[in-house]
Amino acid sequence: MAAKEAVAKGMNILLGKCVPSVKANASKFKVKRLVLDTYLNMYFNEYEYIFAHDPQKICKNGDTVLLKKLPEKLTTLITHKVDRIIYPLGDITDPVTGKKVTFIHYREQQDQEDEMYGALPTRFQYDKAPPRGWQEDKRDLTHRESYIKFNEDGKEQKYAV
Amino acid sequence: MSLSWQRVKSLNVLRNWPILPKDSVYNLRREFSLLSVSLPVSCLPNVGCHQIPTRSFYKHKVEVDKRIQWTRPVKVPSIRPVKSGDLSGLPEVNFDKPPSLYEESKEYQTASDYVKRVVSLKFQKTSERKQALFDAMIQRVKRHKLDTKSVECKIAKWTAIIRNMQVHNANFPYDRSSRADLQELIDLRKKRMKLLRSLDYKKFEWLLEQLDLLYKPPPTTHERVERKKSMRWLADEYCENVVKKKLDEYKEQLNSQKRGFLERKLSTMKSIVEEEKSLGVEPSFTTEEIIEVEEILKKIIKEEDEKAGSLSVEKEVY
Repeated sequence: MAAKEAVAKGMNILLGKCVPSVKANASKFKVKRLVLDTYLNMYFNEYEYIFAHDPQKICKNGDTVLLKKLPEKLTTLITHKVDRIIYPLGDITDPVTGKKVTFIHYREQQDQEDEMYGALPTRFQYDKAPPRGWQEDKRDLTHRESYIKFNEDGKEQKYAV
Repeated sequence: MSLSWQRVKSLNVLRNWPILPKDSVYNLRREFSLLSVSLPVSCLPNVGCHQIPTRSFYKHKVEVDKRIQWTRPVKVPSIRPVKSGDLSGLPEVNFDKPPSLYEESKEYQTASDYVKRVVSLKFQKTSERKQALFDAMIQRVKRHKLDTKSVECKIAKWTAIIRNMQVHNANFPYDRSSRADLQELIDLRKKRMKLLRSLDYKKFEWLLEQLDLLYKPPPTTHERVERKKSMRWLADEYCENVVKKKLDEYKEQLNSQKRGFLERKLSTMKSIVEEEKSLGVEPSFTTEEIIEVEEILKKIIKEEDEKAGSLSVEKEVY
């Protein structure tokens, strides 16, 4: 409830994490907010799910996105719009140097290391790689929520575990 | 004189007493039940007995079974390739070749064909052949010649081991220790893939393609498979389908009326304009508006023709 309270107080901007949803023209976001428990005098996480207008579906599952409040509600559910993607999942840029990073290494450093040993053509090259999402719905099924299979109907259930 | 209850019963003294013990009350009921009285069926009062429900459970069940069928899914062990996400098996390796270390040596290159044949993988130990298979798997993703510790190399190595163990497990299903090892390795690989996804998405996707793996996210909630719960979900699904079907039918019905309506609209518009012109009044419709309607009509006619064409093609095929 915390995020909705914040919106009600007049907060226009929210930071959310994209979660899978099947809605067209909109993406679903999980918004975290720290709420003070006055009895324990401690802050606790509270989560809220918000739908934001996203006609081109630029947000992928796991991206951290800045949401802005719409002047008028589009539907009963859609209250926000996507402003911009701040952290795409697994494709981080170092804000100080502006270089691409994986975990704690610069990608450049890794390439240099490979070349010192004698790089093979089988290795993964970042500049030749296609943008994220080329294995979506083929080998990577994270764009949809999975469920435990509860019925055997003879058809292939792709998203059942 | 004191008498026991058994003695009193045997004396038959208490037969007609107003207060009777429980057993004798039942006996009385049985004697004077409605079945024993010969009455016409229509006169039988429906008092005192359990009322028959209007909709029996059996009837309801038959109606449901016509529409919804539920079968419990067979449990698949998580070590099977279907569950672990291995879409293909181990790579194909030519066993006429020698182990990788032999190939570079001068002695091997200058040796005769007989020697080469004896040294080939076909006549080597099983462990050598296995190592060749693992090496072929790692070779797909190697960064450089000495690379063994990078993430992709490790995952490739585990994948090779997993696939080899899966073959072993299919042949020897009661080898429990290997089964446990296999399960541990699968879990480890899944965990590393999850981490790699959050740290380096592009490499994650490339690795899925290279090693022919399928990645499914874990379900957010754990739901036990139960008959009643599943039937409820299936009923919801069925209802949604019914609503969708009806809406689609209604949409088609409305769309089919469009053409006639637009034709009537056009003719009336034109007649109104002509009448107004003859009377010398300013026409209430401009030519642009009429053209707009005409264009919409043309579009609809074209769509209908295309549909009819596609249907006729289908008819010819069957």
